Amino acid sequence: MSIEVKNLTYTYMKGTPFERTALKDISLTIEENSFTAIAGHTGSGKSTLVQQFNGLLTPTMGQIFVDGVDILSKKPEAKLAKCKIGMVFQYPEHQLFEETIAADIAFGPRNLGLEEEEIEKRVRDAMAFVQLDYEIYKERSPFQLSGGQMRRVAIAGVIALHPKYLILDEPTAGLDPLGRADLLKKIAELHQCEKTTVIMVSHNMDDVAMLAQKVLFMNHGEIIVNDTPQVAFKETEKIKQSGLEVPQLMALLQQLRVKGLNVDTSIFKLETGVDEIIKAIGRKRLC
Amino acid sequence: MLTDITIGQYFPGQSILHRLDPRTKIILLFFFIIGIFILDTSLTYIALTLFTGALIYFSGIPFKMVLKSIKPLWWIILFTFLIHLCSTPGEPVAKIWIFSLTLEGLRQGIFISLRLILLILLSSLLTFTTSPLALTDALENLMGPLKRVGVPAHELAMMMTIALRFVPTLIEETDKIMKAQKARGSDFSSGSIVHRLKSLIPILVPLFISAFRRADELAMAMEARCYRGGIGRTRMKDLKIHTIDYIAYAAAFVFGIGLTALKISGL
Repeated sequence: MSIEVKNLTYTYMKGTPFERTALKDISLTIEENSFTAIAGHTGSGKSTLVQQFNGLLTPTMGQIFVDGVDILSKKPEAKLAKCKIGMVFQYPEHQLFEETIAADIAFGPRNLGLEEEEIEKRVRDAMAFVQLDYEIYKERSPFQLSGGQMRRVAIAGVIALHPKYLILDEPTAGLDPLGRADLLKKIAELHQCEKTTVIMVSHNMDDVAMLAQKVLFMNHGEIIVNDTPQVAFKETEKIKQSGLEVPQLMALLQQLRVKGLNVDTSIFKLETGVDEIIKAIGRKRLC
Repeated sequence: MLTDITIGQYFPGQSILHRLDPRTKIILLFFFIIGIFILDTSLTYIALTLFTGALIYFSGIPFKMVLKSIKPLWWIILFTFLIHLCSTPGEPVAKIWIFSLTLEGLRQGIFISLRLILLILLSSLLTFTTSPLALTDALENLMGPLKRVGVPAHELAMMMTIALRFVPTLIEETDKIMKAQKARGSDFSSGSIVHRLKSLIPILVPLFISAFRRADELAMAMEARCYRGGIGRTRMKDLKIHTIDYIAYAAAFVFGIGLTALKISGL
């Protein structure tokens, strides 16, 4: 079971002088229960790509299968398959509209046609998940909240749909460091405990390094690297080419190596990185 | 797709028409419109039609695209044609029910429709070859003399510029909100009318909120940069009349004299 994309091409405003090909012949597979990060500079096509997965954009050419169902077909299964995918947009707090927080989170589940009891249960769970107290916040207006809280409400609105695949487009943009760490922890939890397949679009390589099992680098509408972080982060040249930087830890290790400290520069996780530096310094002292 | 709409239908290019000063284009368009109404003989219409065709050719804009601008007014043109065809007194050629079709009516109908088509084509040529910003600049400049009698020309032009500037932004925003709500399972295209209207609420509320937020931010940003209206304000790109504009005026003048001569000589 997976999301499978075959030879997908997407062109904006076809047939006008503003025509622009955003995605060129892309093929990829996103496995169930995986955590994929898609990185690339602004305009590299990453947001356009993820919007194809649940049919918000229709490819100019190519096919998309969600759990083996062609979502571009007109069959009722296609609609059901699209419902398996939840999508959190950039700045999701801009989509809030209801009078109360609970009503806004219930909007998605209600559209699914669920029973009232089930809806209330899902709203409770979703609010608990994003750490908003149900009793305190359910009757409040979402517009009285702070930016970070509004984002949590918006994310809860998508979590309440219980998606099998969750797409997050720059979920941490514009959050303070604490809010960012919090949100990423929650996403990781969702992936590990609920077995949700997560696809995260980001250009923050530190976030990517911390969480992803698979990394996709995009440049000019093409996938230039698609591999595990261990392999992907070694492609320093390609990373630079696509307008990104390697994770800060890797940059530090590389600098240390230049300065003559014998460290392994392929480490990208913070904990192992710290150990490695301590070890390397220890080795140097022994000599 | 919502974002595929082109606003102000500006078609970038480097043709003679693109390079003319926007004021020249507005003034000449104005005179051509008067010409189309006054000079109404067969020969002048043929000349004007050929002239418009030549302009479209020189503008480098695909002919099909220009013709598309007639599309929304197609029914009005057809309707006026039929009215004239049936209601002009003269020698009847055929009779359908209570309407009698006359040769004079046919002639009149063709003239009127041609007049409308030429009007639309010429004015859309203006918007095809001039960016919306250049257009508002030119309007402000042309309205300059009216400032003396208290017309807030600069403010009007600024309002137009801001409105035009934010049309694509708001469309993008609408598109994004629609997608976000669609991803949460809302359906805009099926159900009864009441249901469909209700499904607009999740789009309109966030859209209004963001429009007000943007307006607020823009006002703040303008104030922070000491904006206080048009008095004493200079611009980065001043409109300038070039040789090409004088040539255009001269050509239009000669063309106008020629047409008037045709009309007076009664051909």
